[in-house]
Amino acid sequence: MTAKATILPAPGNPFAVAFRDLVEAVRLAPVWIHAGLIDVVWRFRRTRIGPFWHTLSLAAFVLVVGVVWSTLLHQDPYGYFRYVTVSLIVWGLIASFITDGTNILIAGQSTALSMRFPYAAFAFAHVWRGLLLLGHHLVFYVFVMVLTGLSPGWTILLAIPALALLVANGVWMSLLAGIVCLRWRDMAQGISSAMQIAMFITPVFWPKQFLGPNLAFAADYNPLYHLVQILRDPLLGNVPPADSWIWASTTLVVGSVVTLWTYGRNRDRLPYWY
Amino acid sequence: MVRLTVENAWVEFPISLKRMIGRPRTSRTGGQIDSKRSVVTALRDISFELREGDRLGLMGHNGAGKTTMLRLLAGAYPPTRGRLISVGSISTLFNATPGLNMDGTGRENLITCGLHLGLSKKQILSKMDEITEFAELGDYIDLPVRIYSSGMMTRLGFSIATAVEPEILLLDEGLATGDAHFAQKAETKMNDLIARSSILVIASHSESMLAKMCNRCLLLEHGRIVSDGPPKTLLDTYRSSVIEAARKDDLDGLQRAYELAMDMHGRGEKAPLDLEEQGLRYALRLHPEDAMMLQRYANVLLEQGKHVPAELEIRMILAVLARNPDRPEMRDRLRVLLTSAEQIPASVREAAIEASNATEAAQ
Repeated sequence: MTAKATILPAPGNPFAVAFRDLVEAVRLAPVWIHAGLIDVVWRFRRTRIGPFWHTLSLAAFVLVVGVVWSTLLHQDPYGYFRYVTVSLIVWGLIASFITDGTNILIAGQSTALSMRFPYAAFAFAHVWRGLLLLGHHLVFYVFVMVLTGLSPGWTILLAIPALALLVANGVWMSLLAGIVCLRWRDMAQGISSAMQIAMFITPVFWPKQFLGPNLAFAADYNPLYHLVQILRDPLLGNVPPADSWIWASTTLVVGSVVTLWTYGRNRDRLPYWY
Repeated sequence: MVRLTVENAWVEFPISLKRMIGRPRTSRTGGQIDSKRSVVTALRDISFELREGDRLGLMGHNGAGKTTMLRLLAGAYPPTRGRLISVGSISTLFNATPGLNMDGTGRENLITCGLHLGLSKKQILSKMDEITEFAELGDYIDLPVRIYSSGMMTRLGFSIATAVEPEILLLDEGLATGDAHFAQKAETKMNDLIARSSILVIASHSESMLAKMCNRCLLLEHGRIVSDGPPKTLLDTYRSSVIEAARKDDLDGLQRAYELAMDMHGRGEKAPLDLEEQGLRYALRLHPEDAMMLQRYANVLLEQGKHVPAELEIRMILAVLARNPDRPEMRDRLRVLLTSAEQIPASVREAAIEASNATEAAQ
């Protein structure tokens, strides 16, 4: 054990404080990797099919929405099924970062109040949990792709950098949501309502073209749309537009800067908000 | 070099004062409420330094800031003013075990909690047998924690927390360790752990425990350090300040005297007579007609060579007669007391006259 001095309140500017905590949270990787994994196991401990319940409810949803909307929108059923499946999987991942992220700090109370714990690790654990559930959903994705007879080809490799970008965005999103909701408990409800509404104004169920030229800006200037787009396209065998990559990267940079500043600035106040 | 330095540290909680109605009142316990700045000061201007070999005891009544102090030292509450510098690995043994999940089995929880407490998975697995054996959970170790009894839960938490080998150990009292047999084992384990740690901070109500384990004590009151010194001196100061306050009929003082006497009684020690006197005065406020307590109170006064007031004796006799009216010698004594020159409150006098007459009629 190396003797390292810990000084509190943490000295330095907000970014230095946040960065030190990030390093510490990365060092604690075994803790949150295990915690995230066991969390998923525990949550479904007393169910028979476990996390696949999520997949099953997704499948039921896709089936109903697929049948109804493909008729309403006069779409090719096969193509629409694929579209809605991938959309919902990707949207579900992003939405869980934000909606469930609101609770991550609140739920960590017993840990946070018994030691000096890098709160960023709660966000890492959360994003990791999201990825584990995504893994279960991919089973359904493969199933739909096989059933509708489409291979995305090598384009699917683009899903790897896209997922990395999404995960990096997920860290700041859940951490920021967690901080905001720790301070103002009302916000959790507000954020979950906002995300529900966002699902309808973001092209998730319907293709972006349906907005027409007058409303196209609603998607063009919607960062959530671009985040969905970069992962959805490769999974469907398309190359995502350069615009979306730029938007997603910009979102990451801006979001991270804002979050790290907020986090670093309030780091030593956070425990007092419990 | 392991050390823990606190420099003019404050712990202040932000509060919303909208819900507070009326003027601020003074409370017996807790930190000070500052309505102007909307904060509750849980710890105020704390400074001290601990070095290798220091064993610090935290004293004070409930709400004096002992647990907050431990959380400050653990780094969970960074000081809102002032500074805290710690060198060395810190481990805490509080009531809640970090990372505990009800749906996990004992074994799974040992791993998660152990990881949270800073052990590596390898270390936990190598210690697993030792820990499970110590916790005496048997086959329960592979069942969900949800169905554990509270005793089992504490044993589990205690066993994992004591598996860590920290340089700075922070302990919260009231580690209810279940049955007497386990409590004894736990004490051995704890002493072992304490012996291996470089710095110990322990918060406790138990005077004997502090006197035995610590070489320095802090007495906290309303989040302030009111005295600092070797445990013996501090315990004496604390006890005499409580007795002093109780003598002035201060309700808080009386209650603390009662708690102190009960605490000593609970450990099988005999409370000093002056402390017991004040404790009994508090108890008699709550149960003014308890014959046993009245008798004990009179005895305590007699043992100290103090005068037993006539009023007290009358109340004692009335209490005895209420249970067993067939005591003629008591009635005689009552009549003698009624003729004494001492001041007796009218209500007591009336009751005494009534009792002596009533029993005459019965004869």
